[in-house]
Amino acid sequence: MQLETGKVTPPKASPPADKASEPTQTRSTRLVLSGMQALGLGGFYVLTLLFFSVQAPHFFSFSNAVNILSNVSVIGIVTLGQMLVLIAGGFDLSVAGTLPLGGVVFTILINHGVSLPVAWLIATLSGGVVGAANGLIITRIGINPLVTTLGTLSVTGGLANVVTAGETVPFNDLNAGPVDNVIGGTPVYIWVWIAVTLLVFVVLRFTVLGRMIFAISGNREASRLAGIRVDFVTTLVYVISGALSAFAGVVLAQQLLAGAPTVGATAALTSIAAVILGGAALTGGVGGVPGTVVGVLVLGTVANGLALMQVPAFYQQIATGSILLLAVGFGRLRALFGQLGDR
Amino acid sequence: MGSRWRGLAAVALVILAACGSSGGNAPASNSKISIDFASADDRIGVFKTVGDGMVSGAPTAGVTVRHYDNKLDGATALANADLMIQDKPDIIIDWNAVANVGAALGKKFNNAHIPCLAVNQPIAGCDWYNLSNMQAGVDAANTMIPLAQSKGWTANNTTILMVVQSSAGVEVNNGPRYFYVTIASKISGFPTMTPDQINPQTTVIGNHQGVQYECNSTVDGSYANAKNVLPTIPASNHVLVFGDDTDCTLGALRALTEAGRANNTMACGLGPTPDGLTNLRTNASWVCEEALFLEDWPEFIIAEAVAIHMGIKPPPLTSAPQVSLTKDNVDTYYTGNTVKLLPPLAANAQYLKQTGILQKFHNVQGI
Amino acid sequence: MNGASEKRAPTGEVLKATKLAKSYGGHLVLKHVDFSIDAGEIVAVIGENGAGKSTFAKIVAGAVLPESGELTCGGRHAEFRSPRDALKAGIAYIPQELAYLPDVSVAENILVGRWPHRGGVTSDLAIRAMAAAEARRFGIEVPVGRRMASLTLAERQLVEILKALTRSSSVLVLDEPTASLTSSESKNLFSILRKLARTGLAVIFISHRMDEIFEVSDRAVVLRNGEVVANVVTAKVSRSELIGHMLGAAAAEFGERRDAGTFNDPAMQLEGWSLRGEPDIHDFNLTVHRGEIVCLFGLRGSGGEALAEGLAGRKPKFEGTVVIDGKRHTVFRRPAAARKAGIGYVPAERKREGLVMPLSVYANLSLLVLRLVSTAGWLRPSAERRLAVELRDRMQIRMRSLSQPVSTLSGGNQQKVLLASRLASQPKVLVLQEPTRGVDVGARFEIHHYLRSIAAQGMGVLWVTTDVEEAVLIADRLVVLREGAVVAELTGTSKTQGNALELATKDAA
Repeated sequence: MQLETGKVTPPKASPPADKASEPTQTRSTRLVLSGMQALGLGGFYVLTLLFFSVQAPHFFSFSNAVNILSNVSVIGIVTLGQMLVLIAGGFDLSVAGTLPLGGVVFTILINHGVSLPVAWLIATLSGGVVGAANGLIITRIGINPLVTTLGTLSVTGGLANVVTAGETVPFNDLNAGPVDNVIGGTPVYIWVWIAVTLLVFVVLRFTVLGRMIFAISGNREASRLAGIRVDFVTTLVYVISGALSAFAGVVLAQQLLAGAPTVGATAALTSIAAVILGGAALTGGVGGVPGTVVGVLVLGTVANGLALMQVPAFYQQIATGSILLLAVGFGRLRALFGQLGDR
Repeated sequence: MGSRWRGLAAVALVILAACGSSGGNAPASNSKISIDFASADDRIGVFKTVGDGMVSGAPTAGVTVRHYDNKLDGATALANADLMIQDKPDIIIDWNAVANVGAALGKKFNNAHIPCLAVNQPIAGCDWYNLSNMQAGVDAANTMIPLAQSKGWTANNTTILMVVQSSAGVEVNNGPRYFYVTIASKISGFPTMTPDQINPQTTVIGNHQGVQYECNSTVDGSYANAKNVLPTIPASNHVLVFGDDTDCTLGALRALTEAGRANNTMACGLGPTPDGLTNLRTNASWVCEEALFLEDWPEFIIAEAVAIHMGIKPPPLTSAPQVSLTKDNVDTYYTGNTVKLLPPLAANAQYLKQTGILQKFHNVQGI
Repeated sequence: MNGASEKRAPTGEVLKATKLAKSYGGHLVLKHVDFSIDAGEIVAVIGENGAGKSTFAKIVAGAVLPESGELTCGGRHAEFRSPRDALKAGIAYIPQELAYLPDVSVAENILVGRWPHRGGVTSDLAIRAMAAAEARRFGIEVPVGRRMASLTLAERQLVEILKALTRSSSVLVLDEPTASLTSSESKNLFSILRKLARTGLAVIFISHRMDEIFEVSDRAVVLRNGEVVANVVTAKVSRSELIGHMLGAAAAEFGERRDAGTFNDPAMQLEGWSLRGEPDIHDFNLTVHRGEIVCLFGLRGSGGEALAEGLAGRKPKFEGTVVIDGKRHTVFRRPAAARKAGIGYVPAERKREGLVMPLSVYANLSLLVLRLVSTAGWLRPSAERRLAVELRDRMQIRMRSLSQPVSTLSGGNQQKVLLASRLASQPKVLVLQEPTRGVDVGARFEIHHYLRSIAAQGMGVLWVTTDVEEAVLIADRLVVLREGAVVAELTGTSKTQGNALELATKDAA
């Protein structure tokens, strides 16, 4: 395995030995860790690209780049919502339920003649309603996010199944999936994902809401004492996550040309993994969207590369897990070192 | 933050660079036919066997196979479809077990002008290879009818017991359904039912001449439900039982045996499973076991793919090999629990002979 | 190698440093430091943050090599390449963050590396006996048998000191030893240090607490910008002189007492505040006038904290009403309500409750007034920057850049940011809890100065503190609390530390 295409760059001048406590490591360990840290997650991603370019047929091509981006568009949208929730200090497992719910609601509506934009809107709102339920239960009743979103996950999953009698509902009109169209060699839904990403980025960076989310993420109590309505903002974040997830479900339904109640089983864990990979969660929100995007790309690229390499299913799981650990090493150390220095 | 922007910039560069390069490497040009196969779910035993069989059977068949895994997920199947199209194989074989997403898959394959073959679940615009539960039910009925008649069992003193799994959909339950319909058409006295009239809501037909109950997936589940149903069947009635699969039938037989009705029962399983084969060989009440030969699908699928490539137009459905195993013929097809011979090709599969593929495996009766 | 003998206390110079210099990354932290200490002397090294006192201590302790200059120990030139060398020469360093073995016993910690053994086998009893003997010898009481981690911080500190002593140290260097001790623990430490000094031990301790310096040190050395600017006998210098040396400004500016003016215009009136809890507060009334600084002083748990939090909207269980600027409100149920009514609240724990550490300085400054620096939900970066610059300049907050995380600022500057963020919302009344805790002397006085001027502009200030020195210094009216009730209001000449303490602790054990 030629992973040694990754270069370990020597570290920059180390800070004075005045820090409160230094990790006791051998020099070579420190070199490697510093090198990884300097490269960061983005650098690690480039390494993965190089690796797969050599090992996997067709990997290094425009068509495959489109494949990867296609692969991650839907989960990418979900992950943006999950990122907001994680930044605000919670978890949203219910995305695995709002994803199929959105698709199913949309499908049933258009099959009954509702116009596309309206059906899309209603489907998205249905996810928002679930998110509102999450937010209210978590902030008002005080049940922790894990248990709460697990509960709503069961409910939405069950709902999706009830509404479709457990079956995948096909589109009556097979042209009702505009985002599935291909323009300039790339499907429209990739651009949808990019647009949503930009939107979330802008909101997070340039709006009062975004600032409040960061504040709550950094110190909830201080934000509350400063007069920020933390409960309201938290609920709003869950609403956004539910809505984005249902929105993504509509995109997926248009890809599948059907509303399937069975999709999204892995959406929760994948989106959480991508956010943590990208670092937004650990660094108290600072960084956010770009890191999350890279996290999503890493996961999608690895899946794509391993499939092209014909790696057997069980080994794929092991390989994915190992690569994730490696990626965490590249991205996490920077934040870890930062936190150690603060003591 | 800086490094993440760097990372994204690197990605953008890579994509731009890739634009310049050709859209993928062409497969090494040789005379071998290239097949891309996506299996239903390599984590599940029976599907995994087929996937493995495709890869291991490729050299024997003289083709190359690239193998993907649909992981029982519609979105994954879509992604795999993109990857397979990118490979530009001669034929794509797709086993996507998620119902109703076939339209999206078919659209991709057809837009890419690559011939495709759908296994088990149909895909719009692709040829279709599948087993037939209906046939299994018909065969089971045909095996049992002479045996029952020779014992003097009639419609007045016999109950047809169907063990179904409603949540699995219509097709899977066609076995028990057509089991009843066939018997009713050949032994007079049973109320005639059209297939649609036997549905998940059916529980009793006529004067307990037909009874249907839910299997609940496992032997124990079937057994528990059977115990509840048996008291409603007149104690002196003979019972002909057939379930969605062997486990369902086993549960029913166990309940019947406990009630002392074993020698008044004829059971038929579907699989076959090791339990089913053992019962077939040793248990007097077990008169047949419908065999689906799933593990041997690869050679047939490859043969159909080659046929398509050769320009032969397959019929709308090519049926998988199936046979009704009885105490008399079980050892013709099976050594112990291993397949040794496959039954003759179904009518709609005869054309496969022209490809010469099946001949290379030396295990099909009549070829 | 016995530094402290029972028979005769050693005398004379034990340590001397000449022309010490050290820089980090091009920045000269110590410029030219001369220092000496005799056996039996307790010398306090004081200075503002960044003056170089920690660096100095580390050089003496062998943890850091000086760039130039030399150390002389017991008359001989000393070059310490590591703390071990310094230890061998008899210099023991007790840093703020103690380094010990938490899971073994106190005795084992004291004798670490020198556990008595017979042929390689140690015995618990032997170790404990030896440790107990040493403890007796130096007169420091520690529970030798207990697990180190089970001790309080103060006890652990004493163990560390004992450990240093048993290694025949002749010089003890302590870095901010009382930072986390209660006042009784500090007193205990000081009496031990004085006792040890009498046996000939030389003690260097780094501190910025004025009262300690005057309580325990014989001499005070003041560092400023890496140089020694004063080397005075403690008994002969005044507090304001020392502060003046530390800050490099005329002494007269500091330590000025506040004179009681006349304040007529009420800014805030608490009426009938009651709380069932710890402590029970019953029918508490208080008026804070515009321009007035009212200090609520009392022991911890005497009610000041509860009242401040009640005013901040953190304790909805309170009953009562408050009139602010003519409008009557019932007790605030939420912090947002308090803020809306015109209360600016500065919480006690700036890191935990006041500031959002990962956020930048300017984001923290604008935290309460996001509405002012945004339009229809969209932030206006230029407006935010203007606000931040104005606040920074007004309060003289020191930082490299407004975009740096507030966590990288010094304690004093962080507190200024916290204060500024509250002032940004232009409150009618400021309610502060322990606003200068953990803040260095210079910043502390700047904050005092600034708050006085704010008050003079018409704001009412309610200041809750357990620091009697500060209370006396800053209050126009010092309200003494005990067990949830007002026991006295001190102004003018009656406003002394002695009075305040006595009233606050009467009847207490």
